[in-house]
Amino acid sequence: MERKYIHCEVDKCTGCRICEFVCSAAKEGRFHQELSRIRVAHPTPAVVVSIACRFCENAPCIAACPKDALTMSGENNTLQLDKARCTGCGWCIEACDFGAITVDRSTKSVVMCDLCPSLPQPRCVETCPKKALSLSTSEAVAQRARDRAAAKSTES
Amino acid sequence: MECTVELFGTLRQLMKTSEVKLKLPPGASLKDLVAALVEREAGLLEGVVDPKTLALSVPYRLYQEGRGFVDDLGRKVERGDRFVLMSVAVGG
Amino acid sequence: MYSYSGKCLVVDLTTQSTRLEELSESLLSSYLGGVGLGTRLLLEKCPPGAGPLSPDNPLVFASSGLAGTMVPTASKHAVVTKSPLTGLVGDSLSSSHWSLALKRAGYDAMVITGMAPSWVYLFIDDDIVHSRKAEHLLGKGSSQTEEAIRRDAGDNRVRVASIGPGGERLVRYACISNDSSRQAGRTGTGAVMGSKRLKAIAIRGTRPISVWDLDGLQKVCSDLYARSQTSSTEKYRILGTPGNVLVLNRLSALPTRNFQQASFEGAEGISGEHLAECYLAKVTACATCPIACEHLYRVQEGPYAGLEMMLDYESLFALGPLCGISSVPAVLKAAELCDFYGIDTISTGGCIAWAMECFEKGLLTANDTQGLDLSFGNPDALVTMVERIGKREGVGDLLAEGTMRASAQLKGGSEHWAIHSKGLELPGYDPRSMKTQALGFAVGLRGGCHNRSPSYEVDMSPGVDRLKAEPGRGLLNKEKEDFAAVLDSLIICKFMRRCFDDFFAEASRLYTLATGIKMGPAGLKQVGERVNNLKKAFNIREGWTQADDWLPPRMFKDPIPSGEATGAVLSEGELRMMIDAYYKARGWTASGLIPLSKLKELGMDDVVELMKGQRNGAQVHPLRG
Repeated sequence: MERKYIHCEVDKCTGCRICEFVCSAAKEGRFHQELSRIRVAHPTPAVVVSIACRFCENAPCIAACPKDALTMSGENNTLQLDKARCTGCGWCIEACDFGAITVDRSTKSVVMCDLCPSLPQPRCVETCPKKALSLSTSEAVAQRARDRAAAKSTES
Repeated sequence: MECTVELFGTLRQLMKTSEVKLKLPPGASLKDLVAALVEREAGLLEGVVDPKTLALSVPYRLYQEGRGFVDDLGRKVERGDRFVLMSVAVGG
Repeated sequence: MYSYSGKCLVVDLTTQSTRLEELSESLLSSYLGGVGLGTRLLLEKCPPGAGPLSPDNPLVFASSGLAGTMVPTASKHAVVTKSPLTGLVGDSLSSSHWSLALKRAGYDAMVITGMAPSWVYLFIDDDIVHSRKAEHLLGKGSSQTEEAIRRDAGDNRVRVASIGPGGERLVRYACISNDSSRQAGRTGTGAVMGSKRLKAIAIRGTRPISVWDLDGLQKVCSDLYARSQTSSTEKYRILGTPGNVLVLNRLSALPTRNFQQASFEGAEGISGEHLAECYLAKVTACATCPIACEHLYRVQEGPYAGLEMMLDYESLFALGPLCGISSVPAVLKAAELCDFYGIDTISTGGCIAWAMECFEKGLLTANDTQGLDLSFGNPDALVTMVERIGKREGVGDLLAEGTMRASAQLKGGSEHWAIHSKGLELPGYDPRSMKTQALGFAVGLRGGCHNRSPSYEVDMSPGVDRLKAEPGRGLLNKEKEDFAAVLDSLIICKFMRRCFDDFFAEASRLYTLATGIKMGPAGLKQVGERVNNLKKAFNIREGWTQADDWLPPRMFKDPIPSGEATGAVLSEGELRMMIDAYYKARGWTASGLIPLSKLKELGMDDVVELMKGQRNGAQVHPLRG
């Protein structure tokens, strides 16, 4: 099954962070942006995008985990954590190029996006006011980019 | 008879001009004027003009030069009348 | 309590100590937060007659019951203090991440009193408050200050509110900026912060916010998000507020060359349409805002190539048509400098326009301006003057005082064209061609303001003759003011207002879903009236007199010379008539004072007690004493 992840359209994202509010509410029952599984990065005024776990084909976090607590599995082929094995050391966070894993001090382990398996669609995708978020495969993202490039090439 | 409607904001992009000259039959009302605009640009029906009543959707308003803001669609239009279709100024 | 923490952080900079005060549910449900709560705390903690730039004047930051939740546009805070510009209540709103940090650090409000022995910045780390040396930050603009503090903290959860060099130098309309592009802009709160030798307030707020009914809140908010993407907010999203330029220009309501005209021949060149077509780089949003009205413009060529700057209508009008400027890059540059120095763009533009008219009439000469050609329309003069004001250099030192004081000092008839009400420079709506707004400007509780008295909406309604003054406008202005006060206390952004079908029913429900506190539509509506009477009570205590509710001579003597509203002017009789009708609609006395019965009706018995601090019955006018 092709890998799907939450993709954020950079041109549509406004940095409102509503995704962080609804994700943390869905997972934690209250508004707690740091425990949102999707996080907004806004390094300069004109550059803003939200990032969630991409379920990498060759995940560095899985390789890095000293306790082998992380696997890519489940019916959605997402990153799964064996909580019993996890020590909350954070080595996976250092390995991740996207900052997509977060320490959860209350459970002494880590959290990451799971694509909301118990909901019809991921909460963030459902709620984003600008429809910047979508559940995408890399192929779909590449297709859209090719279509845009083609359209641009015919502009006079 | 001819009358003019000036356009501002995104309406200029939608109708590809900043001013529209309309030819209306004698005795035409504001409703006929709006209908004539819609006939020129059906895109107005999305968010600017209510498809059923032809009333303007909030926050669009019609301003008549020399008179003020008008919303009575039954009001008669005279030859040479000049209108402005605008999204009303708010905050900022 | 849900959402609210019930805590107010009080920081005494003189003794470098802090304490926590309880905020009762009764107080919170009466004033909600924001401007309401902030003013209530100000009235209590500001000694009557305190000098605005004295250590006694408290600087109050107020959060809300909705901040920190998913309620759209609720990431806001109010700054309330005694204004050094007007001597009356100075309340200003700002938004985004710092607002969230304040709430999430665990405070519904924060009061800063006293004066630090040397320049400091506060670092509030949830419940621990540090006071740190700030000498190395002096002279830095707000954005630079923020970057430096966040870099030192090594944590981008740290959010910073700060003053620029303008606030350090006590420019009377200095502002407090946060998150690089937001400001608590008007009435000089930044000068108060500067008078306390407080350069910045950094906050790391990490606490989660729980609400009373999460499911219920989510349903209502999701619906509001959807409604916020329709035509009700289109203007904010697509062109942004700069879309006002051509509309107001067409109506002869665009103040030009210090209100000498009400339409500008260069309007197309600095219009929202032109900005969107040629300069727009990106649209962003405040935290938790689904609308996204922040338009970031980029200059590609010329002397300011590479400049990136956000711009809203008021800044655009004040630095553009008001000064006769038709160059977008110059306006963007001037706005960028206002942000660097941390000074209110509206007052800055108003002061420069006043000075340009003085120069035009020979009251200021090249001698006075250090050789600068301070003519209307000179973009170099605009940019240079912003810097001089921020530095209090040369004639900039005079302008830094505001048009009211500057014209009182310069004299020569310049009071005629000092366009302010109560000392607050007028925003971009010409009162001669918008007479309900004229009333709003004249009676405005923080001075000439379109935000607290948004009555231009009345003037732009079908069936209202904006060129005519009528007694009925008194009640209409009151209703607009009360509605604004509710929004400013909940706090919900005014740009959301058209997304509600039945505002008081829906918003009171939102409030209950978030806080668990029972609130009905009538109760919510009454908060607005209560808050405005509270502000009025403060003003009366601090020396407001009837003469303060008025407009500059230009509005009565100089009719609009051209355009759709040619000949439009206000008569003193007209304004008097509308003001009288407004006092009546408010249930105030004929001289604009609040009867005890009105305070009791609004459940403000405790305010009656606080009014008793008045100095021996004698009303010393704050602007003269």
